[in-house]
Amino acid sequence: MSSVHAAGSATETQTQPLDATPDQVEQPASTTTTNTGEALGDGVAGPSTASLDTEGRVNGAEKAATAKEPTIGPGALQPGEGVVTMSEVEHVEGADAEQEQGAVIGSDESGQWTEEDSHELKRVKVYELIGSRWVDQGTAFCFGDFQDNEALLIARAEADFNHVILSTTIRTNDVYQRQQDTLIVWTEPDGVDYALSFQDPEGCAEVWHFIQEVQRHMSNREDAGVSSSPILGPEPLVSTANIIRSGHLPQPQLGIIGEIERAIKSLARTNAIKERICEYIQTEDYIKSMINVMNQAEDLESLENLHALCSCMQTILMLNDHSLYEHILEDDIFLGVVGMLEYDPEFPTHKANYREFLHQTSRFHQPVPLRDETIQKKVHHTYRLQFLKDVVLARAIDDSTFNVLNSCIIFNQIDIINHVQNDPAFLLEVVCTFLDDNMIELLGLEPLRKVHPQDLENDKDKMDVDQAQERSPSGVPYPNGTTADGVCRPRPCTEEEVVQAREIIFLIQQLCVMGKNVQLPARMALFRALVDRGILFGVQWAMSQPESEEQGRQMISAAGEILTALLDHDLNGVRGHVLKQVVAAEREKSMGKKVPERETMLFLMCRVLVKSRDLAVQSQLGESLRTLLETQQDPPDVHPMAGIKFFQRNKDEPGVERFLDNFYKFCIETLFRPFGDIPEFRTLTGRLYIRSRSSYVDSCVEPRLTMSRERTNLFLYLCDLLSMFTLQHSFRIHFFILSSNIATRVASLLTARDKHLRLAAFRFFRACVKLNNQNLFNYLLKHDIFQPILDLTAEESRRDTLLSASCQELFEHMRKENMKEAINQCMIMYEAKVRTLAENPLLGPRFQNFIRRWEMNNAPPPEEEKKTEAPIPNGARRWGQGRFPEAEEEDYFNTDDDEDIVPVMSSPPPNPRSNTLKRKRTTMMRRQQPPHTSAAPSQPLSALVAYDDNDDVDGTESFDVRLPQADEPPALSSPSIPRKLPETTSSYFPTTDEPPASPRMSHKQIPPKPLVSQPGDEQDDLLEHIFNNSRPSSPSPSSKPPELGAKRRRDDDDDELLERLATRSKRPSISQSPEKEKSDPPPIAGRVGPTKAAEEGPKKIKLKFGVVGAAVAASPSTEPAPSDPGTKEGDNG
Amino acid sequence: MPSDLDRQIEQLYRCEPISEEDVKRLCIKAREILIEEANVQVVDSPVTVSGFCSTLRTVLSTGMFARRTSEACIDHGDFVDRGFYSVETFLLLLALKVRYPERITLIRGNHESRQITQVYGFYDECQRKYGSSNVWRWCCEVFDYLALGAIVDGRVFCVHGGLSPNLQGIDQIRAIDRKQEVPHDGPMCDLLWSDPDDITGWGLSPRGAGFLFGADITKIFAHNNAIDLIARAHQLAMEGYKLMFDKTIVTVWSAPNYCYRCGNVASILELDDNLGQEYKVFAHAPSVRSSLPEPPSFPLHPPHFTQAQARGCIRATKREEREFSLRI
Repeated sequence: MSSVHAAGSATETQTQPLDATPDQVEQPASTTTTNTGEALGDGVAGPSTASLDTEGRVNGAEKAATAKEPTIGPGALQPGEGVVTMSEVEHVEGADAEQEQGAVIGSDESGQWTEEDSHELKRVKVYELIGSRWVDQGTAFCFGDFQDNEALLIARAEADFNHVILSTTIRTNDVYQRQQDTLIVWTEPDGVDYALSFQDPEGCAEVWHFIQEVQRHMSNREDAGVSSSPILGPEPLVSTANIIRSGHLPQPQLGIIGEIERAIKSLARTNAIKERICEYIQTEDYIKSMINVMNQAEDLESLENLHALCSCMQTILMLNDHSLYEHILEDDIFLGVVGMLEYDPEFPTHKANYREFLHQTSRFHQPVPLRDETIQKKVHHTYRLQFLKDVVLARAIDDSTFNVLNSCIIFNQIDIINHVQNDPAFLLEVVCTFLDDNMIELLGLEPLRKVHPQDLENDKDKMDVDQAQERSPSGVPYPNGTTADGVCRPRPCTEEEVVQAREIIFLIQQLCVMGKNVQLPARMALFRALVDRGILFGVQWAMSQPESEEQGRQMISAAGEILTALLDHDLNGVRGHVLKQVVAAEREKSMGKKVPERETMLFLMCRVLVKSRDLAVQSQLGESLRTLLETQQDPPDVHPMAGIKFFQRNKDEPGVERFLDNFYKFCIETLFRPFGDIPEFRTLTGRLYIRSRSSYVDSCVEPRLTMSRERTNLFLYLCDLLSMFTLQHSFRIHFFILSSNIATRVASLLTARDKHLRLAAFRFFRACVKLNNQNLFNYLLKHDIFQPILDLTAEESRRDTLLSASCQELFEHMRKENMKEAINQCMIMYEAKVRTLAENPLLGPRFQNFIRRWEMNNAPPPEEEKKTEAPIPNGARRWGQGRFPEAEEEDYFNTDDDEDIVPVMSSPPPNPRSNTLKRKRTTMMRRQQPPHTSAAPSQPLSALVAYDDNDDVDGTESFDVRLPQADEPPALSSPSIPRKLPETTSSYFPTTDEPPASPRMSHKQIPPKPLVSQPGDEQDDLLEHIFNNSRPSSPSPSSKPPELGAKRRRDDDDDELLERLATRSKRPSISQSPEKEKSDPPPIAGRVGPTKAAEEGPKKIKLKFGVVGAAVAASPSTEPAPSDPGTKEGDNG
Repeated sequence: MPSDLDRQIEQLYRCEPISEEDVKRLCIKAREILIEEANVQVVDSPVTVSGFCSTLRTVLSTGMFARRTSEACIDHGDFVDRGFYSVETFLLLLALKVRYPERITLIRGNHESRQITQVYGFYDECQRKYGSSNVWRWCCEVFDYLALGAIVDGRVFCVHGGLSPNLQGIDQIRAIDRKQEVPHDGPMCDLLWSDPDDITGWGLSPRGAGFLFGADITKIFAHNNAIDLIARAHQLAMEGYKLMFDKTIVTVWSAPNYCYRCGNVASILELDDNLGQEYKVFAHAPSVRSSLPEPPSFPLHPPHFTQAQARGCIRATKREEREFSLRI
């Protein structure tokens, strides 16, 4: 029970010494030295005994072994060194023994297992073979131990530390076997079989390790002085120990492979020896000998040997030696190697068919010759490495082997990639496959196909020079006289050429995949080179292949992949290529040649996307177009993708502009042509409403636009693109939207059967609204687009879905940004719909806020802040199933407190300070007011001040446009009439009577709108009608004071002028919130009069409005103008 | 074709990838289902909450999968970019979602984004396993539809990252347009990126996105929204879960031995009918102390390792559960 802790790393807190005793506590020093390998004694003991920390153990083992490594050289053993080693070992063990004894004594003192988990790993069941049965001897913890210069294996019972279940001396000869991961089985000299079945593979590994170490030391000791020269040839008796002792591997032959494998395993544990083994295997053609053995074994059908060969080969591969891998990849060896690996002993009844596969299935295509022998070889090697990694060793592979294989592959790939870029002929040849002669000329490329590869090969150097000259930066096309004779035919045309072209495309695709593996600078260089050399011509050819054929589909898919890779790495290069194409085409035209109409890459992408019926192609191209046309980069990256941008070529702004120009000139029509197939939404909705009315199903929009899945998918991408363009391409896309009829057709998609398509269509309109562009908005209004949007919202309002969230977001956005005109127009044209939505339990609060916002805009009340705050708790209300009202109540009180200050300050006569304060608060709140007209902030003040006067001279000042504000204060002040708290609290539950409240509100809230924005008689009529309505409604709530209080409060928040006028009579009887009481004192005096008077108010005011309306109409009002074109045109006329 | 779906689930459960065509169909179906979900999905107890589902075997075998018939599950984002099988993991979750739409709720994590998956390996994995980026593209499409949070009985709020200074109420999350790439700022970003921290108020997040928020913020939020607990993932918790701020917020971490090297244990949170919280802690199956294998039947061919191991694991996890589950 020696230095259990020895190799335990000092940092590892979990690993406690098994037997925590005083003298061990003092040993941390030696612990650390173990890890650094300075104290050899511990180094040996560390690995061999109960170390817990894997890392520490391995370190220890390696260090210890390294120290002795010269002794076990594969070729020769130096006697002198051997002696030294032996003494070292002895010294070491002696030291150990001392320590151990201390430790053992220590542990005996404690006499029991300690609680620490340290020994847990080596929990083991001991079995003895009695007859043919394994008999359980008990559960124990097993340790290696040194006593009297003997290494022992001791298993102490789990239950009782002092009960030793098994204690056996470790012997040199190889009786121990490790099976699976957790079993050690051996036969004692007396013929008894034992098995240790470990709970944990790691524990097993440790003990196994210990056994091996001991064996090694012992064999060293035995042989060190004796055998100083290597034994050559097969030994009469081959055992692992002998091999190890001999220091080199015996020539492989049937029957001893297993021993060899074990020898390799145990020898390879130290780095230096491992290297020598690898070297030996390579120099001695050891693997070839193994292959010979395999052939023999196969002839003899000796499965046993084949299995042994397989695991031996695996062991060799797992040595993870770079040069060894290179070695086995050689043509004459590789097949043999995988052949051996076909016989996996873990699947004894199966045989893999790697050789057959390599022979028959895998073929090496070389559409474009690689003229460099070494590179060719590397290509083959890379393939083999990948085959090893992904197929042959896939199951057995561990992390380090995986890494080694991977790095081998990547090194090769880097070489290949470099070669491809630097070989002047290769890429040129690739590109020329896809170009006709004219194009080659135009681009200033050498028509290389006329040069025979042989020529190239013969004087490679010369060609190099030539190429360099030809691709001189001047880029001037050749005088066109030379090829004037040639009929310009698109390439590739012949069958053979097509076949070759296909292979070239696959080649490029593989190159791109390869390129993505290498490090960033090399990667960027590769893709840039590809783009610069015109690889896109190939992509273009591939993409234009017919989709109806399997091969064509493959081509398109490959082209898509290549394109994506190129776009990811060299976006601006691709754009530049398109522009080059444009220029080339123009030049061609100007030269007066009759050439086939050339389409640009961009145009082709649009065309193929629109035409394709393959979802994968659609998504590929959709994404590619998106990348290509995305002009606004994301905000500075938080994520480490920034690297790519760093290496990318500089953005070429004018180039982007020209690129977009080209797109909008030639491509966009094609791209969005499919929208032409969709009917305008009006033709849909017409039917729709008839039907829904007849069935009277709460205005549910029946999905009527049914399309095939491919079509749906296409429109999905088109809508996405359209949204993106709308947000990014400013005037260009605006012009397109305005000049085409696309919006109305997109609107039809709002009724599509597939919800995600509805969403995509919706997002387009959202993008339009988000731009806050008046022209666009007017356009949408003109075409009645908000109708289907509101319909969609209504339809989705019954459930909380993604779509409904998006819809809500749209209106919330309009409200938050206070897009006055937009809100106004919406309310004017679709008020009924909006109001219906406001009653919806799910969307209600949000749309009520929306309506409120509109009311505020139109009737700026004295205290803006109040309203801005109120919606917050309102908005959050729905979720609180439990306590929410309380929370809200609290909010309310809080806000009240805030507001207390403001009204007090603002109620005195105009005061600049209060004004600024208010501004600050408003912005602080939620930035709800940013686009407020200049009048808004100041008006409340003036209104407050002017209030009493106004009220008094009601009729006389009625021409003032500010009239509504002037009327407001009474409304505000009225709540101040003191009433006591009980009712007040009840009024804090506005949710309860929300539905009834809002419609009532609605009636009263309409008037301000016409006042501001809509001149004309009709408004008067409307007003009148509303007031007539409002009057009957007002008495009814009075019968239910608490409810009314609730309404009232909210109404106050709304600063709803007319409502107050209408209901003023009831005010005195109803308590209001405390803030009013505090804030209102000044006006109180004048209050009672006006409130009373207000009972007759409505009529008067209505008349007033009439006049005001006329006045507004007459004056060159700025506000109504933009809103007119919508629906009011007819009215005015 | 339920049988088809079941086959896919079986296949994915064995960590075998399903065909590209199957992925396509699966994603389309998932999209149909997810689009019907709210930004904050309402879930009824009892429910199992797990976070950071990376190593599907462990999580599925211990918690979710076994319980799928009786209870609902909420899953907390970051399905991808973890481990060697994130494609299979995500697709399995998706398949289960399609199969049992009401039983499983998937919440978006910050790794469910195009940008992040390209950097952290999901993209490469798709590329490697399917040879093209189509699968990745379809998965990303589905990411955009994932819900942002869930609320259990109106009392336990589940979200991947944390709170946002732009959101006072859970209801405000409802008006987020979630169908988009995770933005770099704004409420949606914060929900997926923020972390609780021992500070007061809000702080800048070292992650570069989202915020740090303190106990006060958490409590105010919980109070205002009448919730008892915020359950989130997003951060490694060595003990499997970590309660903070007077138990108003908990980080649930369901990936044992994260990244194959962190050596942490993982947990899932079970909420019973009364929202009682029970954290079931478990460790990475193979490294857990497994019980002893059966005795070898004859010297050279003892019982097969994997069987024994597998049996061991199951027993061990049960034992672990017994030992570690604690009642809060």
